[in-house]
Amino acid sequence: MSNVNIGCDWVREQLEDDLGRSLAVEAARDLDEHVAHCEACRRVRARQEMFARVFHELPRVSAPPDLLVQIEAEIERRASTPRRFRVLRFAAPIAATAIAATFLAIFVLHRARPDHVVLLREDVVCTSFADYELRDRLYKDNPFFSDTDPADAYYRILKEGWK
Amino acid sequence: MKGDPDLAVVREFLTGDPERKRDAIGKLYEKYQDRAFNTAYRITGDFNLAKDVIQDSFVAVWEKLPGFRTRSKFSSWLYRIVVNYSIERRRRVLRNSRHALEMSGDVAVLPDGSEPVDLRVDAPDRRLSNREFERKVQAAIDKLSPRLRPVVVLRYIEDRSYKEIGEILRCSIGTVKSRLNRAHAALEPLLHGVVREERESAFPRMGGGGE
Repeated sequence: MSNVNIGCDWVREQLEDDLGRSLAVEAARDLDEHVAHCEACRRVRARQEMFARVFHELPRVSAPPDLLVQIEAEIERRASTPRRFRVLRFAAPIAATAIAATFLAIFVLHRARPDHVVLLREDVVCTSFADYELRDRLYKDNPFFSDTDPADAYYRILKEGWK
Repeated sequence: MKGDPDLAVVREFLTGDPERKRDAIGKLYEKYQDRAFNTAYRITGDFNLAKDVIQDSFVAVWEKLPGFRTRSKFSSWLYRIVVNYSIERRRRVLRNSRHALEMSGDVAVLPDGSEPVDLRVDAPDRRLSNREFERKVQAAIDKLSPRLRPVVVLRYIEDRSYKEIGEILRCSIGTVKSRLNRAHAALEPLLHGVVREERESAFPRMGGGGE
């Protein structure tokens, strides 16, 4: 008669774990008793015993003796080449940022006409009445108009128009 | 990583000193080379692929160990790398070739998932040699899907517990058990054939004085 104290689930768990080899004497006896009377669990034990035997008989394959040398060579190779790439990994974003910043600066300065000095209205040197008149016209719409010579600026504006 | 027997060696590696790093890798390799190689060999089914896997795995250890901060043991982490690389390598071979390749000649390879060996008894009076027995068992393992194969290899060949397998494959014990159950169902008829053939082939030797 099958042992009523233990169920098939427990028995199968033990069998699948280690064929019940790690069980204490009494529990192992219970398991044996259950298996002796339970056809389904007997099949599980037979299957597990077969797996254990077949895989146990499978020869273990060792690593070839020269593998460590190959691994060390590969590590050496990667350690020497990626160092450059590793520098690039940090250098590339820095360079890209620098380039972007440069372009931005050029753009901003271009818009601000960096080749000219920004002068306030009062700083523009006027030597004649015409100069004053011209200065006032230039600064009327553009309080930060930049140029050292109002006359040059005036002619340029006449030629190119306001930008 | 608490209680990890490899902790001291890992720390030695993490000192950053190139000489000590090399020593540490050497120690870890010495300790795990054969088990890791055997695992890779059984999952890939090919000697040369296993070599590549172990080389890649230890190079990965060299490169990634500084970032190794998980609570799992080093050995579980290493096995995870080996298992993942083995599956990946094998998958790449399958993808690259639609025809059966004889890469090392040691064990049949299944690049296209076809049956490499006939597991049925083709000659009842023939005794199975060790090589043939291995080839047929390996062929049975090869028939398993990439999800099931590592579970079987780790459980029956590497003798790992469910918990360890779960840690290596990053899945629950329940998942490990369910995959093993599926693997049992797939393997049982295949291995029965091998065992039956082996048993039948043993009789002539025992009865009539053998070959």
